[in-house]
Parts: sequence; structure tokens; C-alpha cells
Amino acid sequence: MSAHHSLLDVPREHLTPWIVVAVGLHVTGALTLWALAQLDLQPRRPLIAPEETIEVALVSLPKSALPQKASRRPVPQAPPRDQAPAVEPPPRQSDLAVPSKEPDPAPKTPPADPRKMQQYLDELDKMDELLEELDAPEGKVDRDAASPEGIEGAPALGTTGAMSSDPELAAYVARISRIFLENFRPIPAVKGKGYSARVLVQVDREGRVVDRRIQASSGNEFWDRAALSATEAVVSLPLPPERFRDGRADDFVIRFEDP
Amino acid sequence: MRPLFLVLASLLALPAWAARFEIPVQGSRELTLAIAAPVMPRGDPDQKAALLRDTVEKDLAMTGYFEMVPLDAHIERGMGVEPGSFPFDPWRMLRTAALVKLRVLPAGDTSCDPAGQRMCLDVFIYDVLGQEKLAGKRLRGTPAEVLSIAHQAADEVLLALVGLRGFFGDVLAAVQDRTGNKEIWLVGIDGARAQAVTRNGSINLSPAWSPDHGTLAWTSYRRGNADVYAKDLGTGAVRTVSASPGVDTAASFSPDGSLVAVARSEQGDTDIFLLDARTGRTIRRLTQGGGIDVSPHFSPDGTQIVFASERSGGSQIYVVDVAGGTPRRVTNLRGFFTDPVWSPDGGAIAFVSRDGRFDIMTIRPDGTGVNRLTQDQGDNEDPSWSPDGRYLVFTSTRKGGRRIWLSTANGRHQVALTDDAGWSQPVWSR
Repeated sequence: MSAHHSLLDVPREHLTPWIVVAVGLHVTGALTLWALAQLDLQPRRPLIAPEETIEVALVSLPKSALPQKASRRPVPQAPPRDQAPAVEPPPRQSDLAVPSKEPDPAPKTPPADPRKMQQYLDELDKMDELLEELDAPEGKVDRDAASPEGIEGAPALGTTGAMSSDPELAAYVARISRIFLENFRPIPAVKGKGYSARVLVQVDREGRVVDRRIQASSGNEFWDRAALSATEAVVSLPLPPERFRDGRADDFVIRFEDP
Repeated sequence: MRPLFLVLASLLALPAWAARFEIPVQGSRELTLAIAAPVMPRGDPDQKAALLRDTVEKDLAMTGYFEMVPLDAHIERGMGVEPGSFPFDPWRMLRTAALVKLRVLPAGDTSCDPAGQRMCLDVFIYDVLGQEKLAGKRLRGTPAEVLSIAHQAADEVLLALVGLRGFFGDVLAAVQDRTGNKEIWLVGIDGARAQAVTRNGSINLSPAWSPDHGTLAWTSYRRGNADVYAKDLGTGAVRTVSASPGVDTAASFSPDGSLVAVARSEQGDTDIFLLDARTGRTIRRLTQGGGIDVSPHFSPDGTQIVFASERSGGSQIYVVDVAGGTPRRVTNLRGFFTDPVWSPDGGAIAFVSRDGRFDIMTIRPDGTGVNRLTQDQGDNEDPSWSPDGRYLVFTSTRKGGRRIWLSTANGRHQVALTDDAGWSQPVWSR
């Protein structure tokens, strides 16, 4: 009698539990891989991509004129075309486009004034800082914008219902809302049509914005671009009130609405 | 099967993105717009480029839709105007959302007007975020018409980015007292292109456009008495519309141009009269007694007339049917209200509140929805609606002297149109 037994020698009823476990593990593994594939695990895009820096250099940008705090002005990226089909673009007159005439005459305008450009960029920075570090006064809202009450009185829409009635959190939400409002500048032709886009903004535990993407398109590419651009102009957000901090990274859904 | 079920359940329970905060952003700011320095033909003086660009920028800035990126902050300069001939990144760095590029082709240019004397201005309008051209247009005119071409360029930009008809070539009729007399002038919406309509050395007031904008009526003391005249701006012919022994003033044309409403004083009282616009014949007396009734202005449907009346003591705003009847009081506010003008859509009446200072207000014809457009900014008078009802022109002393100002209908954005003072009673044509 041999001391070696093959699996073929094991009675079938003894193998069945092992077969079930093996099949179960395979199915679990396959499902896990499938689930991971559904999550967007693409590497996060840097705030200023190297190739974009190179493009700027190609136009002979005066080095001294470059913003010192480059991270405060990330280069906006247009959303992918297939993400936001154009429903109602502004009036176009491309049919009336002028015929091509190249090359253009030699430039006659003086070179950029680095001091003035820096001054303008500094002013933009200053506005951001005011908004981020202070409880900034309400910005000048255009004629089509919501009433100030629409912002001040906006309910805190945290994902937990209890937050909505917390005045401290409501103030925090209103403050964040103003930061994005200041940077939301859609083409006027698409205003007044009720568009609404949702942009997911991810921040790290210190409030630095690490990613942003369109979560729900408005259906209008111009509205979506403006919404995404508004989030790209913001590089950090104030931390939530102490009671609501949990020391972890946070996600914000910014809902850009046409009142 | 339980372990498999648990795995599946845990996978399904994983939230895709569990956002803790949902932030509503309701409203928006003005679009950041850059107007690049125009590409000019060789040898063309730079002053023309500056004039061209400044005109387009000033026009667009007055609308309230844009926040301009200052020229001296522009990084990309002197490159092409056509798609692909310049980079967008330098504009993105300045947070520019829309970009206008201009190119001048001189008269005689082969691709413009080789045989003629006209120059061309190419206008390209870009969406910087989308890195695409939204519109392009070639405008033509003689070199002497460069300002008019610049206004047309601004019209094209407004149409492409806002979807509205531009008004930068529109004209106002207004009273100017710079010479010591009060004369009627036409002046561009940009505060330039001023030209005199009257030069009689007398007192000329209350200009009013006919619906076809070919005729201008006004009140003049040229013959010693206040009478209403009308001038055909095409032929220059002047005719008398209303010349009673008393004072005839403040004409308003009906929307079809067949009638004129005037304020006429008879036997010590001033009332509203309806006249035939062509013959001046009195059709109907609309008000009688009860105090002074002045400043008639037709509703856009031509069925009613709004006017100011002292019948209740202080001056209040009233409305009366063109067919006649008892006037209905619109303003039930404490104060002294004058100079009502009905909006083109019929939904609002602008008027002047005289409560210490003079200010512009609007109210719905049913007496609700009072809105103050000016406050604590000098004296503000003489409101007149734009043809599309989105703006009003008025006069203000907020910067010393009486200048013509423009306001959005809600009063949020206001800008001076004229640099010089001495203006009053502007009325908007097209």
C-alpha cells in the first residue's frame, strides 16, 4: 500500500468544501479587481504641469515677471470634450470668419511691463488671500447673480444632516461658497438658463486642494469650463471649524448654480 | 455562500466619493476679458492702435458684464490674431476667460479693399478656457470712420459673449448749456460725436424721439413762449407741433408715431393733452384741474400715459388711459416724485425722487416693487431707458458738474458717459 495519495484518491465528498472555497476566492479576487478598475486611480495631476511651464517659456515670458507663488495660480484645464456636450453655446459667427492672412505684421507693441504684470498678479493674490484668510466681504456680484441672501443664507449642506442647522458650519459653508463665487466667471451668454454643474474638490488634511474634477456636468461646455476653472483658481481652502475636523483629507462638492 | 455575499456587500457599500461638504455657489462674477493690443500695419501711428483698442475696451466696460484685464499686465504681445498663431497659456495665467484680438488692414490691402479707400478691422473673439474661437468678423470703413468701426467691433464682442445687440453706436439727444444757452445736441453713447440740433440762442428743453428716430421734438422758447417743435433730422425741416398761448412742453410720441402727448397750461393750470403728431390738432384733454400735471410719457403699448401730478399735494406719479378716464395713482410713497418714463417692456416706470437730494428710482406700474438706483451720490435726474430696457441713462452731479451716466436697470453698475459737464435730459435713440 503506497503512502502517497493523489487528489484523485480523495473521496469526492471531502473535496467539495475546498472547491467552494477556491471558487469563492477566485470570484472575490475578480470582483475586487473589477471594483478597483471602476475607481479612478489615475495619478493626480500636478498643479502646474512641466510641459505647460515649457509652453509659457516659449513665449519669452520675462523671468522676473513670473509669479513667485506659482502654486497660487494653477493653469486651468478645460474639461474633456466628451464630458460636457454643448447644448446651448453662445451665438457663433464662425461662418463670417475672416479669411486667413499670414504671417501677421511684425509686432509693434512694446514688450510687457514685468512690474505692471506682477502688480496685477499680486492684486489677484491679495484678493485670494483676503478671501482665504479673512471672512472676506461679499464680492461685487453681477446683474445676473443671486441675491446676496442666496449666499449668506445658504444652508450648510454637509452630507450629515445634523450639520445643516449648525450656525458655525453654515458660516463656514458660506465662506467657502464666496471663495468659489469670486472665481466663477461664465460667459454671460450662458447665464440665465438654469445650468448647474457639480465639481468634486479634494483637499488634503491641511486644506490644500489636490484634485478637482467635474462630478456632474451641467450639459453646457462653457458652464462646465467656467466651473472647473473656478476651482482651479483656488489652491487651498480654510479648514472646517475645529469641531468638524477629523484630521483626514476632505472632499467638497461645489455646486455651481445659475440662480 | 455567506463569505461571498459579505465581500460583494462590502464592495457595493464603498462610496465612490463620500464628500463631507456640499457647497452651493449661486451667482457669478463678471467675465474676465482681455483686449489685446491691435496688430497694426507697418507705418501706422500707434496712437490709432491705442484709440481703437481703448474705444473697444471702454465700450465693453460700460456694459457691466466684464472685468477687464489691464493692457500693461498682458504677457503675450504682438503675436498673431488667428487661431494657432498665439499661445493661450499666458492669458490663462492672468485668469483671462475671454480674449479679443484685433488686426487692422490698411486701405489698399489686397485682402481687404484693394481698389477702394476702405480699411479693414478683423475681430477675433476667443474662449480662453476652451482654447477656441467663438467668433470672427471683418469690418470695413474709411480711415476717418475708425471710431465707428471700433464701436462695431465692440458690438460684435457683446453679441458673441453676451448674446445681446450692441448699443455702442447709439445716439442720445440731450440738452447742453455750455454756451450759456440751453441747446439740443446729439451725442454718442460713448460721450463723443456730439453735434448740435438747435443753435437758436434760446432755451431748448425736453427732447423726444419719434418712434422711427427720424424726428426729434423738443420744447423751445425761441419765440418767447414755450412751444413744442419737431425737426426732421433727415431734411432739417422744423415744424411747430404745439403752440398755445400758454406753456406747451414735454412732448412724448405714441408708439405708432401718430399722437403726441404734451403738458399745456391753460387758465393757470397745467394739464395733459393729446395731439395729432402731424397737424398738431388737439385730440383730447386727458386731465383737468386738481393741480399741475406734467411730464407725460406713453406706455409701450400706447394705451396709457404716465405723468407727474400735484393733485394730491406733493408731486406723485399717476397713470391715465389714452382713451380718457380717472387717473390712477402709482406712487403711494412719502416724497416728491417727478419725470416718469415707462420702460420698453412696460414692466417698470423710472422716475426721480426729490427728497433733499435727487435720486433715480423705479416702480412697477401697479405701484409695487420700488427700487432705488442711486443714493448719496450727488443729484441724479432725467432717466431715460435704453431700447432694450436693460439700461438707463441719466444725469448726475456725483463728480461735479452735470454729466450723463449709464446704469444697468437694477442700478448695480453705473458709469459716466460724458467727460464734460453741462448736460441734462438725455433721451436714448438707437
